[in-house]
Amino acid sequence: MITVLSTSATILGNFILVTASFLTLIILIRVFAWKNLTGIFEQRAEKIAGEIDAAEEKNQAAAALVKQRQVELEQSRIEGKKIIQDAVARAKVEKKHIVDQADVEAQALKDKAKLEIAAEKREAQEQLKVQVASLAVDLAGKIILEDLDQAAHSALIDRYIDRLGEK
Amino acid sequence: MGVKEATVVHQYAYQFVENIAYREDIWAIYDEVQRMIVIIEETKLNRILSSPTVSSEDKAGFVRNLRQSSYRFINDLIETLIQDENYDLLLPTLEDILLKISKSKNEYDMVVTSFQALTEEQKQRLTAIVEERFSVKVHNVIEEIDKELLGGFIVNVNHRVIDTSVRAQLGDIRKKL
Repeated sequence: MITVLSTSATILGNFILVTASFLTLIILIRVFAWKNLTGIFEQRAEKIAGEIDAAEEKNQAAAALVKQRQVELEQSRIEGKKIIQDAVARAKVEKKHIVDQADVEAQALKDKAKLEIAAEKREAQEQLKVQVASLAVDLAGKIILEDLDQAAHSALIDRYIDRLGEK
Repeated sequence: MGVKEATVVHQYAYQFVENIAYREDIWAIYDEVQRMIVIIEETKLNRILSSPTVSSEDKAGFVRNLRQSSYRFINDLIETLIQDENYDLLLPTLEDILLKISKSKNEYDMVVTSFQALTEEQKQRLTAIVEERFSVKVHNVIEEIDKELLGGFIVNVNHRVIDTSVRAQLGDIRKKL
């Protein structure tokens, strides 16, 4: 019995000792190392919080950038549409101008061709007239040559001399 | 012919006509000069005298062949032209002499170009009309035949012309047409 009691006392003494040592250790840690231990955690927490804040800021900046890009894209689309509309309008005006000019030039060419045709017609008529007159005169000359004999020529000369004498 | 040559020709002709102006045989000299002109034109001597490829000696030889006139004035004129080496001025000088003689006497040659030869009577009538109309005397009647006239005649006296040719009349008709 005594042995059992002695053993229990020993266990209890060990227990008390171990507990005291543990408590002492805890107190020592709390006094000397607690700040260091908690400081590391706080620093990590602050760092993590800072990183989270930075990430949020970046997210916000990215969102703002996306929004800005969307706005710019929309403006670009509007401008592009406007440029196309302007180009189409200019093309229409240019087309009208080219067509009008072509009409004017075509009309001018037509008028010029008409004038040239008229001039050529007149020239041809004049030439025809001259040729007919030349033919008639040449024919008259040939008839005179064939029809007048020496006596007739002499009579013609006499007639001309008479006329000269009368003037 | 340039102005310089024309002046030289005038001087030769003027001097010549001055020397013979009061001679009675002036028309004989005129006819002699005219015959020389005919010879030069028929032989085309003036082309040789104007040619730069013919030597002066040869030209002088050709011209001396003409220097056989019975009139001293003509021979002297030709010799002067030879001395001056103005061979190419021979023909224009002779032509100018005829003109100057005609002017000094108001007597000109009448050139009648006709389709056929005129009769003597026609020539006389024509001469009388021309003398009256142009107030000149006709020295010689020079006849030329040109079948191209088709009929009638052309009279040329001292650069004045009467054209009664059928060709001219047909030309007028052609213009009117």
